[in-house]
Amino acid sequence: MSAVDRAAAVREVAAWSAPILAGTGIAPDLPVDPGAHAAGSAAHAWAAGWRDAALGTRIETRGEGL
Amino acid sequence: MTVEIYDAAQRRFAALTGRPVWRVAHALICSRPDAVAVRETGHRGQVMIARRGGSPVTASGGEALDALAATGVMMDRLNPPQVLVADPATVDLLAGLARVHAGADDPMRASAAEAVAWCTERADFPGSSALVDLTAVSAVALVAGVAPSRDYVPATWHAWLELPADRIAATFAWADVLAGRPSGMPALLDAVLTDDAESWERRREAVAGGWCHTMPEGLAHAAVGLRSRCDTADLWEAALLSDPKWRRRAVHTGHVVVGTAERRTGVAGFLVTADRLDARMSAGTEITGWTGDPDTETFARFFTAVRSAAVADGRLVLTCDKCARMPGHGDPVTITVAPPSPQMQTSVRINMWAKYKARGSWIARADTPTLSRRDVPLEVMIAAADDE
Repeated sequence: MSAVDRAAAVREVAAWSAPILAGTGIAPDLPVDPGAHAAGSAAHAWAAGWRDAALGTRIETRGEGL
Repeated sequence: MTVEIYDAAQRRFAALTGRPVWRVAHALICSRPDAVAVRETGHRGQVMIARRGGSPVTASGGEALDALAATGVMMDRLNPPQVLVADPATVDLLAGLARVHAGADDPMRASAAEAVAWCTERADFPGSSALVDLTAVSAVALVAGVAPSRDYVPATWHAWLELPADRIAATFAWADVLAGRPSGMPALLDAVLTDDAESWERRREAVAGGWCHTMPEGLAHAAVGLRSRCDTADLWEAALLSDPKWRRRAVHTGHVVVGTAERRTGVAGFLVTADRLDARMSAGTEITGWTGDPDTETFARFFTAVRSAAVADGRLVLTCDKCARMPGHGDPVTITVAPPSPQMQTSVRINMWAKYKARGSWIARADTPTLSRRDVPLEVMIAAADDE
């Protein structure tokens, strides 16, 4: 059971990131395949960040490092 | 640079899952069995102090130094002590205690003051495990689902790492989380740990000879000290870039370039073309790289220098000098700035020390020193500003 209030965390991050994402066209349901976006684009960076976070969590859970 | 957007995605992922995201595969600190935790109680100048598994002592002023001496933070030990704190405010508090009680009549208290002063000085050396600011290390190693302004608040990590309510137990558990990475510490940080040990030995000799940290430092000490801080910051940056997770992020800061190698007839070296134009590499930059993506761990690295950087047809083109293990035409390559050599850094510092210690003014000698310039890392400038 996480000690974190996830709903509050999502609201906090959404409020903080709104100015950063403004005008980038990034939506929460953006496909997470960085290869679908041009290198250097905002969408590519978002997808890469998401993918790396998800990949890291998955591997950490398996206890394999990285 | 698109790193803010990369980080935003990671913060959103952390928020949705309720778990922090690691930015590094490696540990950025080590946690020693004889580490001492120091936490502020919230009452002005008062701290709790404990060794792992020991009962905490709450004290302030000189009595806090006595408690630290009782836990082993004093100059008579052969190996350097390790002090774990939660925030920079505790570092400042400890530095103040050491300053006030330097040269105290009680030899134990005076010894603890010198040991604490040394620890707080080592806080200027990123990657040092002498004094560990756990919040600062967490803010580098982890991403929580919070706005960045809360990265530097200990309560953030208490919640996101689900640390025990007991603050001393939490401090040790926190250090263990940060130190317990499966890949261990990056090899480049070994040099910082070695420097911790050597610095401690030098300080022990100086204190045994009657020196006290409130006495003025000579020019040689000051110059070599600044150089040493800069060298350590360079090692820290390189250690981060040696980490595969960090390299993925560094693609978005321009510190890692992912591209394609090109070999041209009549050209001795090779070219790297990349889609991103925001590389932090220009003519003269010494680089290292390998065939493959940023995750690839390889011993078959090439080391070379960028001869020129240009943009052609909307792509970055880095022309690199000839070297061993050059990539083949069409190979995918990853390049980063070459790491510093710890041995070379030490050699330069020894040379500096000898020149500063040489008798007589350079004005009266034939060998006028040449001006040398270098970038001072941001961390060193911030630490210097904090001291003012």
